[in-house]
Amino acid sequence: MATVTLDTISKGYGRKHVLQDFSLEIRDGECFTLLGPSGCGKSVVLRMLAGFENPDDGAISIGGRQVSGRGVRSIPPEERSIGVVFQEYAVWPHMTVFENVAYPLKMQKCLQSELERRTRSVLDLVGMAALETRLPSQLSGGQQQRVALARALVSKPLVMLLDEPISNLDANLREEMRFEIRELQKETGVTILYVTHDQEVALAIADRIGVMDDRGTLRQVGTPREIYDDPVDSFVFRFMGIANFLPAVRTGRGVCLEGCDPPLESRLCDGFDTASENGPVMAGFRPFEVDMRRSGSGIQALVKRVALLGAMVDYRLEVGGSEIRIQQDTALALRSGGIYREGDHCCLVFEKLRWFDRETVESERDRQ
Amino acid sequence: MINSRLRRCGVAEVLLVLSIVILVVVVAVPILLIFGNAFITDDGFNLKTVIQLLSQPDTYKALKNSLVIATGVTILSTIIGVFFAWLVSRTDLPFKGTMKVLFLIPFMLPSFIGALAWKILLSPRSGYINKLFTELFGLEEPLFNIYTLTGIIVVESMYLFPFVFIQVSGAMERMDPTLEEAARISGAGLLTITRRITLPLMLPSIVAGALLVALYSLSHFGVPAILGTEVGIYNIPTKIYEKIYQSAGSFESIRTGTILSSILVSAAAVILYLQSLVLKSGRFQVISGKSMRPMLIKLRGLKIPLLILSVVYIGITVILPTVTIILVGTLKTYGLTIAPENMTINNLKYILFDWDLTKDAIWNSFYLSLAAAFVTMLVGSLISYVIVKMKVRGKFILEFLGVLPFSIPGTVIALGVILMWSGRFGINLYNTAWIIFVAYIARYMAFSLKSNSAALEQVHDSLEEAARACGAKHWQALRDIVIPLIRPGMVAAFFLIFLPALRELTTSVLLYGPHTRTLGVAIYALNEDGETVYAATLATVALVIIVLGQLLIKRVTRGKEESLGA
Amino acid sequence: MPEDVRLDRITKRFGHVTAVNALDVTINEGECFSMLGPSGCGKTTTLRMLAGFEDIDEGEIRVGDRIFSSKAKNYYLPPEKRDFGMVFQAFAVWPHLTIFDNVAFPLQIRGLPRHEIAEKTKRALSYTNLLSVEGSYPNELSGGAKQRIALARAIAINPTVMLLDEPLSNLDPKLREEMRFEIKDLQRKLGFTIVFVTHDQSEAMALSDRMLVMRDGIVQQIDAPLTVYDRPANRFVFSFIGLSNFIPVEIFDSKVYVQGEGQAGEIRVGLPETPLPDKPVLAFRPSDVQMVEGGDIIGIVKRRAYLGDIVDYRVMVGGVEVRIQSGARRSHYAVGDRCGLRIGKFHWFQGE
Repeated sequence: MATVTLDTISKGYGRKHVLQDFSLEIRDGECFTLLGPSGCGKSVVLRMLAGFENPDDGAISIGGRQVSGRGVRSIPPEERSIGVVFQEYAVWPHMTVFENVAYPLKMQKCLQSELERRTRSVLDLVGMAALETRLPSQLSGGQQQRVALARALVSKPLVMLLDEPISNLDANLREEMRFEIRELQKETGVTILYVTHDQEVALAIADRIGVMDDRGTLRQVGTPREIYDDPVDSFVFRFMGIANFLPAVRTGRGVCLEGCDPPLESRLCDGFDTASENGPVMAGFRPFEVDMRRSGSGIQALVKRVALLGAMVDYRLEVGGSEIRIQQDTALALRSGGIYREGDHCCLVFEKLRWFDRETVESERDRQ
Repeated sequence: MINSRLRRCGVAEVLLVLSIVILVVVVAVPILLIFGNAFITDDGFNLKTVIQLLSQPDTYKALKNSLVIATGVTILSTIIGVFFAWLVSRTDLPFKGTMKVLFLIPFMLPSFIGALAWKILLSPRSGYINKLFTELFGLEEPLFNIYTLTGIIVVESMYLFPFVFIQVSGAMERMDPTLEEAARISGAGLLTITRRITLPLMLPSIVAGALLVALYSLSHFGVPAILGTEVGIYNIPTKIYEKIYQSAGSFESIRTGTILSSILVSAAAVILYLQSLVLKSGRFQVISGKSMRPMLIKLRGLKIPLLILSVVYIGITVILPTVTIILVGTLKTYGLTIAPENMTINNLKYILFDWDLTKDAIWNSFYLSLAAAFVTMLVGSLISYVIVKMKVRGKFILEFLGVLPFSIPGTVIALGVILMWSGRFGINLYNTAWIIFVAYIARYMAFSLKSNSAALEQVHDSLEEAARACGAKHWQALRDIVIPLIRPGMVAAFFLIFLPALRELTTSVLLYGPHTRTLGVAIYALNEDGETVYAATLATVALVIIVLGQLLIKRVTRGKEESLGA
Repeated sequence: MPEDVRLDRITKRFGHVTAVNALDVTINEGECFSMLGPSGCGKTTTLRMLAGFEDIDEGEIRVGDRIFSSKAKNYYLPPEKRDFGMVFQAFAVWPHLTIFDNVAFPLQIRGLPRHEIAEKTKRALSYTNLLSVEGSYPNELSGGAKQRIALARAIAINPTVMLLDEPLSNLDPKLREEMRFEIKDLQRKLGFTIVFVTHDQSEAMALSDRMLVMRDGIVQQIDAPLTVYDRPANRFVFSFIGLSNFIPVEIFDSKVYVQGEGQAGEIRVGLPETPLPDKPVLAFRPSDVQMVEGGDIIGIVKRRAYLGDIVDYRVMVGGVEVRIQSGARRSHYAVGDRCGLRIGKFHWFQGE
């Protein structure tokens, strides 16, 4: 069983604490994405799993075997049965594609015939069989990363560790590799830890995501949909995409957005009361979760800026003294009343609102 | 916990300790001995005799001369270097590519051989040019007396200006051209741009190059030894040499030597510190990632005159001295006019096949350079690996020690190894080839560290980590990944040491024994003994070896670049 | 006479390559005009010809009634005499000068009296919110601030025309957006004409009044952004401006079929009014599709990626893979499902 557990790990460099009492369990055969801003310590987690670094405290086990921890000799990387894929490919430039991929088997003193068979089969899997005699300098970035994937897979590791493996590729290739990594995992059933700062990749590739903040704390673990739609706090909400916040209060007529006249529909107000027990709250929503109407009795807004960005139109609107950002599909907008101009008035209909602690939202905003 | 950690990084700790020991023995202890010898007598710390020695007229004068020469050479080299760098990288001078290569040739020419040539041409009484002019125009005085401070400064500058040239032309080529274009669109003409934008931006490179020249000139032995000693002009290195040889290594002379050396080391340290400051100052980072065609200044009418000036400069500084050496080396007797009937091939035959002194010198230089280059390359790659790649506690000691080799002039190294290896610690290598070998390692360690670290910086950590994750043990990862990848850097280090060591003079001249003359020492000694013709013949041999070596480097390094495909 | 920028059939060759081919356009005074295209399309060369860094092989460049470059008259005004403001991709602020001196440089060069230099510099600095840091050196500041210095330097002489060479591409996405607004606001205040070069289509669309799309030195389309998006001139423009799907089709009895799929590949779309190209290709945007029962085309879901607001599908229509981006709340199709696609707007192009 290749379950991975990190149990109350602490790690620091000099006086700087990177991780404190960090615990995480990655299930057998899942693709787990550790997502966080750069410098949050997510790569340190991966490097400790790989054995390139040792935790100051706490225990790590892979597939039920403790690989480092209190009072135990730390098992070096070469004995952990892991595959690692790095952001900078790390394909050895002096070896051919075949030699690169065969290296782990050579280290295991695999029989030559067996080595050739397994190397070829994994090269086939990543679609690089035709290029096995090339040197890495003759390959594109995407091909090099496929070699790195093959090399990490060839010895049938318990766990694959991927450290931002596609962020050096261009956008098209990134999408393609995202699908390919996902498909490789389905075929091989290997457990994956995928570390990234790119929330789009994380949403697309993961079975479960763990979101870390810049202090190294794990804020939320859940499926992509849970993380995106039901974030536990404003940090996660903000990190997963463009976030709008508007202050809300309960008045005699119901829950109102500050500076706006009509109260919100009651279907939007689930959870408001629970959230407001601890103080003032903010309503949070994404740019796509609002409909703009030419007229109506809803929340009134003024169009401050319009930017056509191609497939979507990006608006800055003023609502009750605050600025929010709304995005519309260009195609839809063109076929339903046209694109708004700066200075137009409109009426907003919300699809969904979430409630966050106002003080936290404001202090996060100040820190930015 | 500390125990387990020690065991965990066993290999790392061993490599670290080994590296530290090597640097301590080869570099640190000799320097400490010099300072100790200079400042500590039987009565403990003693500044009085230091001041006493320094205020003796001849030591004081040597100090002054060193300063004057270094200043003069720095200023002159900087002017020449910046001017030619600007010419080949910022103007539409014809044949720029060729000219750029030509301006680097003075680097290959050992400056003491250049000095020898200029002595032959411009010594006050017997110099060929001076004789020609006195005969032609009936002058009373020679045209130019090379045996002067000015002469020394000019000759040294001829061969040191490439330090500035390389730095500045490199920086000018890598400079973001939009910095100049922005000035043009702002309304500035090309000369205004050169004055107000380009040159100020180049200042750090100019200063870095100038400081290298200063560092080199301050501790330079060859040119002042050949052009100065005859008329009593000494700088610090030649004074140390004279003291030690006059008195056959008396205590007092060694003491003078160590005190002067301490001054040299301190000056070098100051220069290196200044350089690191200049290089660190971030506001001068003007290098762009994108390469674009830079804007070229149109020389128009000046094109041909400036081309002629450049060609004449190369002709005078490179071709004239080289031809002089080659021709004089074939003369039957020194002083004869250069004419076919006065020339012979016998000189060459004699020094190559018959004369033990020169035969030994060539052989000594060859095997010493080979051995030193090989060992220094290996040790340097080991130390660089620890410094660049490993995370071990105590590394800072090594980082500190690793800077030392850069700051020690050749004369000082020689004195240091004399103090260390003359039996004081039970080993006496004096008058053997071993002492020169040890000195070469210390002298060229900096080259090896530089080249190897640069190669290692190129090897991303993840390449080695990938091997570990693939199941390779530390030593297997080193064997299969790291060493093959830094091999070009190691080869470069080898040649960077081998070639200069072949023609080394400054250090060897203090260390040679009856049977351990090197090529440089032999040329120098022959010249001292008045055997100018044989000195020139041997210098010709040295030049041929150097040119062959350079061609070999070109081939080897080019082959490497191609095979890596980068 | 309005200060229009007139590029009159200008051509530029580098050796055998024609970098810009008979480009002919008039940029109106006060307009924000962008030139868009893949790298190497000739847009930067065009800007550099306008700036005077490159001479022209054919044609003429005029601003108002002044001639700047003319092949026929063999006349060429050097860049320093053209009085443009220009902002470069890599900022090109001078690291050895303070921010004040950077911005004052164009004024000093023009030999203005000292108090006037100070006054105009301060004004440019205040427009770009740099007054508080005027004594600092550029490298003490962030990339965004460096680009603001470059902007301030460019507006210091109050130019009528401002040239921007990919001014945002060295900034991170967030700053890029902010700078876009800042440039637009400056233009509103000062009224200069902007000629803007970029390879980023959304940047060009967001900023410009009209845009020129270029490929291999040849102009493809010059129009307002929305027109370029909704009525692209050709297949290249369509694919360069945003994500796109192309389906090669064949036509029997006035009915449209996916090429090589026979009856099964019928697409319910009317024929265009314009004459049909010989190798017709149908095109549509991934975001202009609804996944429904029925629909205009039938496909099978091959891949699916959840991206938060949207789900990104790859759907096989016969042998062709098309991309569909659908709102996450309306997307319940799984890999292997059959689905119908209802396309908002089809475009007809000539096959390549």
